[in-house]
Amino acid sequence: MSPLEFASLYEAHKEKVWRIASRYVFDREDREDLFQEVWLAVHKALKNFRGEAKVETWIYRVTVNAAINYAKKQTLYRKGRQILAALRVVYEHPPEAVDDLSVPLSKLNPRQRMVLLLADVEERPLEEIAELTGLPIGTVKSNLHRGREIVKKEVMKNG
Amino acid sequence: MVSYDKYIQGLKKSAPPVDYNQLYHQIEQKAARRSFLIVQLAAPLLVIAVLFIVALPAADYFSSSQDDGGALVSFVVQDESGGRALENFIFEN
Repeated sequence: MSPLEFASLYEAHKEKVWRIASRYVFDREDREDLFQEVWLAVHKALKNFRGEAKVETWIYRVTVNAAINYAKKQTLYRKGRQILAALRVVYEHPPEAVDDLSVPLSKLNPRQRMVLLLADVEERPLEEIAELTGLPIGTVKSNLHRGREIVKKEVMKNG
Repeated sequence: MVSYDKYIQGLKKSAPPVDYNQLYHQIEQKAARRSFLIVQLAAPLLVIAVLFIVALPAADYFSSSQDDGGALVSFVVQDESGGRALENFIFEN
């Protein structure tokens, strides 16, 4: 892979990846970490990309996988820190304030959040979301429905 | 419903600010560091593998030739010193 290919991919898709990463996790450092994880995965996988899928779909797939893995790692890390904080081994930092637009999204679980972002913000068809997330289409629909309900309620609450 | 749509429009239009150039340089540095790490990890493993491939037949050759020699020597010694057979020969005569 030439650096130019990577650079041009980065130029073409950076905003899309940032939009998902920055709404999927809320801490500034986490957002940048996840964004970098996605592009490192693209960098690593680019030589194996055979062009069978559309580049855009492929970038979405890498982003979704990286985001899901990141969320899993974060959950484990947080649990570990909570245990250490309870044992007074480490100081538990208060969570960073979430910006207004992210507040309703922060009420969703990671799966609902990803499905809602892909469906309503990125406007991907449900079949593609099922393929990207590896979920059955019925599960995608139910997660989307539940996610929308929660967000609507939060939006109404916050005016 | 209107406020939900407005909210989604807001998500589409505005993302938190970010310095894409700075992040790009950090990604490039991390990617370079990762490849260097892979080389650093792979090089000693490769050396060990080569040594193993070279050393295994050599060790097999030397150990098997010594074993055969040892077995042969002990066979000859046992056979010649005779042990019980020699004792029987002396007593019988």
